[in-house]
Amino acid sequence: MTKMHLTVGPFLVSILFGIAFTCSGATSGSADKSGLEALLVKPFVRAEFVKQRKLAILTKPFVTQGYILFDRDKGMVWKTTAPVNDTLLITETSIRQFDGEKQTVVSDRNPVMTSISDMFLTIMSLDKDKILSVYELQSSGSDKQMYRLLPRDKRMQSIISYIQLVGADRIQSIEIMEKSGDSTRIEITNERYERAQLTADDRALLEKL
Amino acid sequence: MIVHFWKNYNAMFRLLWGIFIAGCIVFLGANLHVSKLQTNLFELLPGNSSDTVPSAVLDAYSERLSRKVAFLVSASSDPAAQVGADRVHAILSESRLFNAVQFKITEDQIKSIYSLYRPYRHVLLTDHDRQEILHDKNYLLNRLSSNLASPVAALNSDLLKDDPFLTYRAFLNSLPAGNPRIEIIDGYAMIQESDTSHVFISAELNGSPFDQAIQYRFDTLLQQVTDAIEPGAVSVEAHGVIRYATENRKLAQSEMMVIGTGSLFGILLIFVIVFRQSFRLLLILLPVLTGMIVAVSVSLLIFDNIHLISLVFGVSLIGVSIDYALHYSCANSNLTSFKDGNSALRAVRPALTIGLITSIAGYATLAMTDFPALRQMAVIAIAGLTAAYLTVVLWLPMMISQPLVIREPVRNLAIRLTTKVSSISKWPVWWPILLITVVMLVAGLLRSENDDIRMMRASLPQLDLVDSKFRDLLGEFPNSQYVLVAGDSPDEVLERERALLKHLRSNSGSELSGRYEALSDWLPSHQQQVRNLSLYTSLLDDQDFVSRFETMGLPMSLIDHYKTQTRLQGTEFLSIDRFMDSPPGRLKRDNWLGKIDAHYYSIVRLYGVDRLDVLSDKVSQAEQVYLIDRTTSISSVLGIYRQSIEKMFPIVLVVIFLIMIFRFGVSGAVRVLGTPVLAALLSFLMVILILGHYNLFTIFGLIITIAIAIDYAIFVYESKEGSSGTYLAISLAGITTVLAFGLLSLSDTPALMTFGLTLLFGIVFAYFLTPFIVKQGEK
Repeated sequence: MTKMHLTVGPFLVSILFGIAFTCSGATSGSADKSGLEALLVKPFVRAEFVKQRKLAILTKPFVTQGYILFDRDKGMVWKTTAPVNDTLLITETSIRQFDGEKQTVVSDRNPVMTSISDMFLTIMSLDKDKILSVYELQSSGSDKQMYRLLPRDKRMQSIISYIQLVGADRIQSIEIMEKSGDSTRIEITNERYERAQLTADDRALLEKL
Repeated sequence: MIVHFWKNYNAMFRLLWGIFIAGCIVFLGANLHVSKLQTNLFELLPGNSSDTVPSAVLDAYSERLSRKVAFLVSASSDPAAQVGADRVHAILSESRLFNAVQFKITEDQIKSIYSLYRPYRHVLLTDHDRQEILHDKNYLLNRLSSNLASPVAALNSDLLKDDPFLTYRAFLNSLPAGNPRIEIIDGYAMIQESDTSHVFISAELNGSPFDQAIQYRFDTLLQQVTDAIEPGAVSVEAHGVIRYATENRKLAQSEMMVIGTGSLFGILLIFVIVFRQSFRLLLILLPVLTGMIVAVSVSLLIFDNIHLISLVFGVSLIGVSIDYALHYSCANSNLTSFKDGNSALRAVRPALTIGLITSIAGYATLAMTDFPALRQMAVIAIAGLTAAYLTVVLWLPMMISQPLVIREPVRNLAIRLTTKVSSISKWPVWWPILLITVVMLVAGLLRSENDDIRMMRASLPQLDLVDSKFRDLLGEFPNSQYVLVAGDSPDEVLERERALLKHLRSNSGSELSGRYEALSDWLPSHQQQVRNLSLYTSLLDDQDFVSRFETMGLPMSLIDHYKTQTRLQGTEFLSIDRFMDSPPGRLKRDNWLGKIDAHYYSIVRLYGVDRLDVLSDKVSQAEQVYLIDRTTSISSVLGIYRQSIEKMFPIVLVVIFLIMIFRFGVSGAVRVLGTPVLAALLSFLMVILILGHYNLFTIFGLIITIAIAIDYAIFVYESKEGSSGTYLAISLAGITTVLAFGLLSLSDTPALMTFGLTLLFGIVFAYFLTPFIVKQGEK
């Protein structure tokens, strides 16, 4: 005899988050892709970030600093150094917290977290075709250094209003505007493009992916 | 005058016996009911052995489990499997055979789970969070910071308003995920292989799987399902106790038809071949019939109910009593010089009486044990054999008064057989003793017992294949064992369960692997909820905690709101009744037995737990927690009975031997008893050599062998030298026994096959050994 079980937790959290389960194909028009191409031409392997998380409920933005390590084939290490010390290992299949010794799965079946991590990995990949398959490009005013991406997937549409990339020949910032009015702004600086530029610690971290 | 007086006296006894039989029939008519038949194998245990956990508790759970049926709908793609599952579900729902069919997980169902817990979120904490908070009061704030820092935390204002410390989210995430291989895809519970998609449907029958009517309807349902799906593209498998019960019933019916009909036909054919007035031979079955009527009546009178095993074995013993009628019939025939039934009876009565006395003495000894089934078997056998004896002695001379005519060829054969037997040189008396000793030694060296009940059930390879398929797909399978937790209140049960699971799970990965499924994973006890509330309150009253909260950018209004909510929580806790009444509670019904006999019980189900010895050790350290392994327990009950009979039977033989000494002297007693004992030992040796092991059913076969063979030996010893009727009767008795029981050796059910094989060898050995050991007319 068998008994069926629900993977309840993640689905309940999704409901908390107000996610719809239906998916649909999305269609939209096109925009200035050539500028976007220039923006996406150089994927970095390491970059520092300052992230501002603005929630309507917070009295002030929650600001964190750290750095990102990126491997196109494996995924991303998100290392926060201030005000908390946190290391996240983000791949297509899992999100794990790493404390220097052991890895704890944060949630590998939470559809919301999975969607958001996919979003980051897609953006960070700087793969234009991949990005445009997931997002519709919408020009933002006359400033060609600002590119607004709208999610095609209905599930993401219920969370994200748009993702705004700013920069000319490199991504300077990423802003994620949520439907709830909350937002995240990530300033990218100090990029490095060659693996040889990574420290031994950085390489060791990438190996954990 | 004396003869006249005796005739009247005899007539009075016949009448009284008839009235007694009629009374038994009336008694049975009023009292015989299926409820009187006890099938619980644990009732076979002596004293209070089965009282550790009330059998009502175990029966309730076993009954519930036995009603579960799982369906697997498979196709080459997800959509095809889902469409197939839709069709199967429609058929299952229309059949009205099921209480519940778990089919799709809808968003509404998931939301209903959320609605259940949300009002109680202020008293819900995971064990991990609780431990961490007790270790570091800033744990929740640290976690909140990490989540705010994370780019993928899925954290927004609405979530924080409702759950500022993310404890409720953590609790929801901690709810069991079930089998890790099953995914919910488009609401369907599915397992995906590289080229096949499978949808699971689980259902619960609204009746017992052992109910024949339910089985017929289920068979019809399976046919409907097969007809409804696209052949070749979609396949459906069903798995559950009902499948095994149905196939076993069909096998039993088929065997009963073949073997039973074959036996009956064979017996009737033998009678027709041997006797000319065949229709009167139905009267030969009368002692067996009256024996059964009286045996069941007396048993019900003494015990109020009869165990199935006692009944089956006891009735088998009564079947031996056909020998009494056969000896009388052969004595009252044209093979002998007796003019009428009374004279023939006078000739065979001493042997019949000795046979009965030795049987009663033997079974009476068994009745002195502590084992309920042995006492019942003894009562059934004694009452039945006595009734058969009285029927032969009181009624048959009246009903078959004129000598029966044995057909000429058979008569000549019987005479030649008797002459041949008489000419055989008898072995010296010490030969049987020597042979018994040697065979006993050899058998003792080779003996290998196997009491595992699983070895005794029929092999059903097609169902075993389905079983394997489910196991391979799921990667784990529910153990047949489970853990039972008892308590005086639901809360006590939940607390004990929680403590046990903590202990078991903290040891997982070391020597104890497997998964546990329990109610307390979904419902914290009332005490735990109270402790959680107290912990929350203490945190919110801590100024350092609150200051840090504010420093992170979180508004004080949130803390105030949360404090108000926790105060309002007050006495609002999630109760067992509220939980069981909810959608998740209904899913967990199998883990909660509720109140039985003033106690409450829950079940912890086991999946893929292989080190049961380790689990048993850990469970034994907990109060009122029991590891239930019914299969092993049933096997051990059978083993206990086997050992008990093995110990008692030598005593039984000694008692019979002592009685025989009075009648036959020492030498005679050695021959008369030695023959059946030797036959039984040789049969035992053959069974071990052929099957490799023996069990309780082998022992049953040996007991009946000895019972039958003793009668052979007694009749030969007591009969006149050269009396052809005796050997004809023994031959007929042997043939009827082989036809009635020996054919069971052809059964696909190992238990019956063992029993039949033992008897078959035993009777054959007894038949051929008797002429060498027991001399006719030696008395």
